[in-house]
Amino acid sequence: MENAEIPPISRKLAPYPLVFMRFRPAWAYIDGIREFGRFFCQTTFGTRELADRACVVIQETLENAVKYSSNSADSELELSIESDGSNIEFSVSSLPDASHLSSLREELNGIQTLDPEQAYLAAFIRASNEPEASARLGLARIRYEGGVELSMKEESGGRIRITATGKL
Amino acid sequence: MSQFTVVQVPKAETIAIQVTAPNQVKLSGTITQKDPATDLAGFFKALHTAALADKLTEVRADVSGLTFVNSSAIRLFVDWATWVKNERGHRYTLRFITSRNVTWQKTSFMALMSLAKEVLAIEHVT
Amino acid sequence: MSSYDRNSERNSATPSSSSRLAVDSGSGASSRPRESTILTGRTLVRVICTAGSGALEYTHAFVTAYAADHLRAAVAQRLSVGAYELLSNALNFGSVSSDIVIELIESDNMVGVRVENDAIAARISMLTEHLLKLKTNAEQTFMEELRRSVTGGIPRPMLGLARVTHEVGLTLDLQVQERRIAVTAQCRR
Repeated sequence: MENAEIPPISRKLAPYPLVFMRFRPAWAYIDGIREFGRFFCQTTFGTRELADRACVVIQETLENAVKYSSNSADSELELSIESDGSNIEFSVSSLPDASHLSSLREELNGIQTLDPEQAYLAAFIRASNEPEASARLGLARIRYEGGVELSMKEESGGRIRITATGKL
Repeated sequence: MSQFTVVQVPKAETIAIQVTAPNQVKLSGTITQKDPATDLAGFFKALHTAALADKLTEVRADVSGLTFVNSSAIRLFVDWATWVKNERGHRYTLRFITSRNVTWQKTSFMALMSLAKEVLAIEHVT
Repeated sequence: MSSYDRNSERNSATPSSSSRLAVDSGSGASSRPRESTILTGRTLVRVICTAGSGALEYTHAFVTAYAADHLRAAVAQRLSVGAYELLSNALNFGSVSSDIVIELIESDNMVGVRVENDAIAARISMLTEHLLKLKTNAEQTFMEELRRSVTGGIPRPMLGLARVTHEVGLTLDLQVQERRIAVTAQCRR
C-alpha cells in the first residue's frame, strides 16, 4: 500500500450532519426526501413521534424553498439533518427569488411573536378570513406540529438557510 | 334524488376518494401536491352545495386514512369549515372522522375546532 | 461554494498518516484510462447510519433513486451496485458498533460512492490483501470468489468487491486511518 501524505478520510465535527443532500428545486423530489427523512429519524432515534415531526418539517421547509427558488441554472437546494444527542436540527439552504425574501423574513418575524400554538391558530383564522389569499399555514405548522423553532440566515451568493431546531 | 352521492369524484394520484350515501365522504392516502385545490377545492365545494340542497343535518368526512397532507391541503379543510360557518340559511354539522395515530390530524383538527366549533364535530377512531 | 463544501474542504486539507490502495477498473485486463485519483469534489448525498439502526437497505434505495435522477442511467446503475456491495461489506466485515457513512461524490469528470466504517486490524488486513489480489488480476479473483461463494469456505467469500471492479467496472480506492476505513467506488460521469 502507498504511504504518502494523504488527506484524512473524514473527521466528525460536532454536530456533523447525519444527513446531507443537494438537489435541484423540483417539487417531484419532496415526497421521496420526506419519506427518507421519516424513515431515517425513526431508525436512528427510535421514536415514531420524532419521525412524524421530521415529516412535517421536511415537507413544509422544502415546499417553501422550492416555491420561492430562483429559476437560475445554479439554483440548488441543500438539506441537512444534524443532532448533538439532545436536539435535532433540520436546515434547508436555497437560492430564493429576491422578490420573495422580504415577505419570508416578515412572515418569520410575525409568527415568532406568538407561541407556536397561538401562531398556528392565528394562521387558521387568517386563512378563514382571507379565502382568496394564499395559505401561509406552513411556517406556523412547522413550529407547532414539528415542535421546532425557526431561524433564517442570509448566506453568500444570495442564498438563505432556514433552520428548524427542536428537542429530540 | 340525493345530490350528494352524485357529486363527481376527482381522480387524484395519491388520494382515494369514496362518496357513500347519504352523507359520507372518505379520503385516504396523502395530499402533497403543489396546489391540491386544483383537484379538491371544487370537489369539496360541490359536496357542500349538495349537502345544502339535500338539507343534510350532518356530513361525515372520514379522513382517518389520510396519513399525511401538506399545509395547502389543510387549508382546504379550513375553507370547507368556513363555508359551513358562514351559511345564513340551512347549516349542517361537518363531522371529521380522524385517527388518533396520525399526528397531523390531532393538531390540525383541534385548531380547526377552535375556529368553527359551532358547526364542527371531531370523532376519533383508532 | 456552500458552507457544507467549505467544511469538507477544511477536513481534507490536513495531512495525516493514513494509507491508501487503489484498484483500477482496468487492472490486469483492458486499456481503460487510469481512474485512480482520490475522488474529491462536491458531496451530493451523505448519510451516517448509526450502528445497528437498520437503516442501510433503505438508505441504499434512496441513494440509488437519487443517482438515477441526477446521473446518466448507466452510471447510476453501476454506482448502485457499487453502493450495495460497499455497504454489505461494511455491515458484514466492519465493527458491530461502528457507524457507517455513505457518500455520493462528484467532481468535474468523475462520480463515486464512498463508504466509511470502523474495522478491526485483522479485517483491514484481509480487505487489503483482497484488494491487492484484485489489483493483480481482477478476473481471476472474481472467478475464485464466485467459486468460493458456491462451495463455501473459510474465510468467507468476498465476491462483492470483485464484482464491483470486474463485473461493473468501477475503480476501487481504499483509505485506512487507524481503525477507520473508507472504500470508494468511482467511474467517469
